[in-house]
Amino acid sequence: MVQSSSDVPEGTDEWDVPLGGLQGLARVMLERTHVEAAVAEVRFVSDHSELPESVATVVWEAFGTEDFPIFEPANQVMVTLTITPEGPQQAQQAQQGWLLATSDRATAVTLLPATVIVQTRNYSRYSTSLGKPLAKVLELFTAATGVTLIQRLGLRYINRLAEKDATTPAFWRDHIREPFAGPLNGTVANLVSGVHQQVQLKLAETAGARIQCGVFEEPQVGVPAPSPNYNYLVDLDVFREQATPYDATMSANMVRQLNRTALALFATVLSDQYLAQLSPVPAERATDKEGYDR
Amino acid sequence: MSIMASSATVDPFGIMSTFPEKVRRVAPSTVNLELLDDTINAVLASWEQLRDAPLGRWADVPAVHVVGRPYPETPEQAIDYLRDVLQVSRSDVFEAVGVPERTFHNWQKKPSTRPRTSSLGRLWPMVDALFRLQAGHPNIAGWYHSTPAAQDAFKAGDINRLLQLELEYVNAHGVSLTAARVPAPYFGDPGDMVDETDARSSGVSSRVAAPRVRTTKRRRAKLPTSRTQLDQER
Repeated sequence: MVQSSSDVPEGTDEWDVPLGGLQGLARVMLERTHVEAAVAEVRFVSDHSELPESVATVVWEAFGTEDFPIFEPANQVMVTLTITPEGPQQAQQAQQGWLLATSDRATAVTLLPATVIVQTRNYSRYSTSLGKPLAKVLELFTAATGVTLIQRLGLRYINRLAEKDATTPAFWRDHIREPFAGPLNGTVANLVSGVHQQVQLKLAETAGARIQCGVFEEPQVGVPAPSPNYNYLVDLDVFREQATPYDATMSANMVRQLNRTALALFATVLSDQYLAQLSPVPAERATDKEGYDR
Repeated sequence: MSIMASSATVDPFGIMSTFPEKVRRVAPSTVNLELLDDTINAVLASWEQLRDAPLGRWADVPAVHVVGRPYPETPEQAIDYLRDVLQVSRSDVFEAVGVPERTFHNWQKKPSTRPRTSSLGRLWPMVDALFRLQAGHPNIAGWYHSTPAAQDAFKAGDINRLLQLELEYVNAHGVSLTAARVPAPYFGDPGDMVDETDARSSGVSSRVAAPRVRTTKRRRAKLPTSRTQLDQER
């Protein structure tokens, strides 16, 4: 599952090695990318369909009512597709929980009976934006609810790449690695008006990733409309589906490894030249500017 | 606030292994859509729903062209907004909202005059409904053109039926309508009693441009005041 510590560079541990044998990158921050959403999700095993307000309040008060002044109900609808001899059958299951959010709703923690989600669009670096808040809320949540068994860990980054010169989709063929650029490199490149692809990867026996990426036209505002601009969206979802007893240190390490894997995958989608243009700086020297610390 | 997530495909009978690997779908990590930028929300929704998009002309045309467009300010803008959301002709819109074409051209000729309420038909209620539906639907035009009942409802100007069909679609596809920031529609004050205070404070009410309150005095029925009068009426 994890490479031995003798294989890892000095100053890091085995959890800094990306899954799937992917090439690890140095700990850097990319100062010119825009993270639309960074999400860490932990699903537990639980029979309950509702998280009582009293339990959620305990977590909220300990987590910080001043930093997260918004406390409101949140619902989740789970859709399960079951394959039967008669054909696929779809069932829905609703879970009722609570949402804690900062006053501008840029960062939110969703507490459901069997799920904890930390989501932010004010991403600065992994440790401060996701790692520490997740560790803290997990500790409080498990203590308050008594859940003990983790079912799934997931980390998702929705990255929006925008360049002012991207007036056609074909612009991105030089910025995306050829296997991901697909038809943007082909004979119909100049005819392409939009691209979307989804790639599912098996990184380990219990770990995988889903990469959704593609070009979309930025909506035009104003009359007369300015020339079109095409953005590139990279939606990275790295996860581990493995029943594991909750352990604070182990969970933190596993999510950290997902984070390192996500960065390695991000570098797999982008060309080397474009990655260099995104102004990577060592995490130790990085300011608090928006960027990555993966 | 609601969020929607898909669980992994369940295969108790082991049938999935008989299908190609591409049939399997992984369960993505949950994203709270309400916290996302509108554009990204729309793009992700269209990507997620591509498998459900109808075949044909409208299959690859998510309503991105109306994403981010502000609520129309004038009746002319409203007509064109409906045209663009559903990708229909202006004539279809005129018929659906009960606005004669010549009235529309009059609005264009005299943009500074305020249209009479009676000439607006069902225009603003229809805009209000579709403004919210397009925000919550990954491809409202695709859905409309593949749903004959929705086309009938629109042509008949039956807004309630249109909303009902959308709810049925949502239920059938396991999508939480509220997951995509769809507040309840507000159709303004349909009657001829207008509270001027409300009309000023509510943007929707002012856009609805409800009829003016009739101020002319009504004639009262006169009762006979004397036996002579009563006899005369008999």
